[in-house]
Amino acid sequence: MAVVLHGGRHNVDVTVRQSAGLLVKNNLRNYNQAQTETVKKFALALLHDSHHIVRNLGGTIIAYVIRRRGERIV
Amino acid sequence: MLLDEEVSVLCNAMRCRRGQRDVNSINKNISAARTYNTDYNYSDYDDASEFIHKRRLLSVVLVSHTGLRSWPAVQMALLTNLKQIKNLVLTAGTLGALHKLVEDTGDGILTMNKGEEKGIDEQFLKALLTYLTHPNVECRVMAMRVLYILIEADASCIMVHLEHVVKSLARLCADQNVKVQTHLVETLSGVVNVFFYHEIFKRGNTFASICRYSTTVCWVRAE
Repeated sequence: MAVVLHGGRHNVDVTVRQSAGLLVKNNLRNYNQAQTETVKKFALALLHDSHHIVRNLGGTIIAYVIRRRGERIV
Repeated sequence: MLLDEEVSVLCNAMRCRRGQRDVNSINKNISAARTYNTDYNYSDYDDASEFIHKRRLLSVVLVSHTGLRSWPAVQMALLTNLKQIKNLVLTAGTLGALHKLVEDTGDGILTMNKGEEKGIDEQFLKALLTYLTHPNVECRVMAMRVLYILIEADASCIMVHLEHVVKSLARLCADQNVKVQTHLVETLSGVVNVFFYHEIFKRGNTFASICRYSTTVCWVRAE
């Protein structure tokens, strides 16, 4: 998540940041409650990233978290 | 083939999505849905697509509603971001996220905390309508895409403020951007489909002329 969130400031390529974010999203089912909360907080922070691909990724993670939580409860 | 029980479960689930039932009713409907999932199987249906469609509809409604309740802070966070209209980067990201959420949940994201804070869906709508006049093309287009899904989802705030929504859309008829025009026609066609018999049509031909105008502009552009 650090790569996704702060990679822009350290010249990390946007595709690398995107891949890291998707990895986080796809592994969400293996995370515990505290880790999920951290991802949720970071996902909101991604919405004001300077790169539109990373901003879209933030939206994708938010939508996925909501869908995933709903599936687990139902 | 529609069984009475299925219709009842679906209708109740849809009402839950519109925030018209309390938490107990939602839980009752989740139980009903569980029974539905175990009691009825594929062999009850003549047509596989009907079975898949109904099960998907039921699942999406229930999943999105419970998922949203598990993260109530997201609604206020998005609304706060939307109000920072001068921060282009933040608002573009927020509109993108909102678009994804309304795709999944319909107007669930707007109505989830309606009981606790009055008029929150209207605040969202007001913010979205503001973006229709935003100088950035992507923001205008994104706001329209969100509005289109809300219209399709039969959102209650759209029903209440339909005239205001249509007037805001009408102002975009003079927009020179082709992308905006394309999405404007799409959004207006959504209004036509959903509200064909609404009283706005009884007041004259204003709306029809808006449609004609926007279509003509698109034709001219296409040529």
